[in-house]
Order: sequence, then C-alpha cells, then structure tokens
Amino acid sequence: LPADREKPIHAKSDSANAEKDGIRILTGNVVITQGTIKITGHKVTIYTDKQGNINKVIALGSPAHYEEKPEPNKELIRAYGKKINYMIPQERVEIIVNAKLFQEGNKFTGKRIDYNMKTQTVNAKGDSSKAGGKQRVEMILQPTKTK
Amino acid sequence: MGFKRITTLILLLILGYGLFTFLNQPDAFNLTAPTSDKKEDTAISPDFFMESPVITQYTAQGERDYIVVSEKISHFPHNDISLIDQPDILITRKQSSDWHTTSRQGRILPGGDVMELWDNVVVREQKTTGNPGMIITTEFLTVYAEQNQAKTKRPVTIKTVNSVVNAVGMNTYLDEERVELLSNVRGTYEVQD
Repeated sequence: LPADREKPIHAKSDSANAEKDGIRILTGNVVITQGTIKITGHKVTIYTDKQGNINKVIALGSPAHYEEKPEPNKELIRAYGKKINYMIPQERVEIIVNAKLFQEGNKFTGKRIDYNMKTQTVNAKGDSSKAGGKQRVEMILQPTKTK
Repeated sequence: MGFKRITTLILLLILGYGLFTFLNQPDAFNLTAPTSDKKEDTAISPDFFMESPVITQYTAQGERDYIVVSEKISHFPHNDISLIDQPDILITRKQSSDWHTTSRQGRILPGGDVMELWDNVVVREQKTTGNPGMIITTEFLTVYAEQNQAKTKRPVTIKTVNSVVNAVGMNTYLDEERVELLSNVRGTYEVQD
C-alpha cells in the first residue's frame, strides 16, 4: 500500500552485525516487514543514508521472497528470486536471478524483474537471445475477468 | 517440642547451612561472571581503597586511552579483584567514536585488563561528528580494555536516532565501530519522510 512507505520497518533474524557506516547485516531466518510489505531471506543487508534513514534493503535467499498488498482490493504481489533489492526512495523492487513475480493471477519469470511500486508496473529482462541466452522472459496472463 | 528447643534446632540448621555454603564456596580465583547479583564476600577486608578516584590510562604514544571515575574502588588481596562502585568509563579514540560506559557495579579482574560491569549498564557512543551515536543497554558487560572490545551473553537493547534493536548476546569491536548481535535479533527502524 502507498501508506507502507511511512510505516516503521521491523526486522527479525537469528543474528546481526552493525557496521561502521550504518550497514546492518542480518543473517538466519530474516524477516523484514513494513506495513503490508514483507521480505524474507537467509541474509539481508540494510543500508542507511547519512541521516540514518534506511534507503536500500538487499535480500539473498534460496529463494528470497517479497510480498506486498498494492491496494486494499487487490491480491498480494508475490516475488521470488535469488536476490531481491528493495530500493526505498525509488519505490522499486528488483528481483534478480530466477526471478518470478505473481500479480493478479499473472505470472512473470525471467532473469531479472523490476517492479515499480508506485505505478505497479513490471519490467522483465531475459537473457539476450543474441548471446545464446536460454532464459527468456515468460509471461502467463490469465483471462481478464471482464470477458 | 518446647520453643527453646525449636530455636536451638533452627540455630543449628542455620549454622550447618552456613558451614555448608562456606565449604562449597567457588574457587576464589574463579573468573566466571557472578551469575546472580550476590555481593562479593566483603567480609575479607580490602588492602587498599580509593574514594572518588579518577584513573587515567595513557597509551605508549602518550595519548589518553581511557578514564575511569568511580564512587569507590576497593582492592581485595585474597583474589586480586577490585570492586568499583558506580563506574563511569570514557574510552577515547582519535579516528573513531569515544565510548562512554556507566553502571552501578563493576569489578576489575586480576591483571587489570578485564573489567566486568553489571546492574544497569549503559554504553553511549560519542561520534567525532557530534551526531548522536548509538546507546547500548544491558545488565552485564565484560570490557576488554587491551583489545578494545566489550562482550555480553545477556539481552541487549541498541538505540540509534531512528532505530531500536533487541537481541540476546553481543560482541562490540570499538575500534572497528562494529557490533555483532548473537541471537534473537528484533529491530524496528523508523522511516523519515
């Protein structure tokens, strides 16, 4: 939800390391929540700016997982990938390597998927076919309900 | 059984229990932390004490390493331990933050390099930039002055400008300004607009 961005971020993990320049590395059963946003992974790195505000969350997992309720009457957006970058100021989620994203019954898979939280749009990238890449972007769209 | 005999019996029991615990007193040089907040056996008197002392330790380069201020420090010859009443310790560093640590009780272990603090331990980071640093609170902390480290196995709370983190167990590496939280980490980070 748009209001998620104003909500505090809660983090749970088995252990953590707070580094000098405001970087926090959480490891083991990591769960990050902010309103309806939820990110899980086995290792999550939290980056903060000079004022101590969190500006980036990077989750690694097998897979890492992201979910969010975009609007009250819509289904959860769910994404899975080896690496998930939650770019807070840009309001963008990047799902990298074996990326999968489910939105309103539609399914996207590819090498990398960028989800724009504001516009709720999905950009997906596969391996460039010129380079003989095997993983193309795949979209499975459900019939729209109005038909 | 008359009242007198009961009181004698109770007296014997107390004496017996006292003797039992005295004989089973842990090894006097046992460096393990006091698991409960039991008072050090002050029946054995200190060989020296200082009231309202200020102790300043310098480095080989002549720079101030740390200052310890206290209400009272008493040294006990039988175990070479010094008890500190209301320790107030300022560890100063040129390149990184200063660390200001206070607690109600503390003791310096034999050799003088290891200090144990307990009872409302508060560690305040004083950043060179003047920005507010982190505040760490716990009930027990061991400070290793030589290695510039502080460790505990107890629950800790770490507050910064916009976050509160709770965990169980912590290792702090003062020179690297790095804090390692060992288990059960729960954090809340406020978001600025």
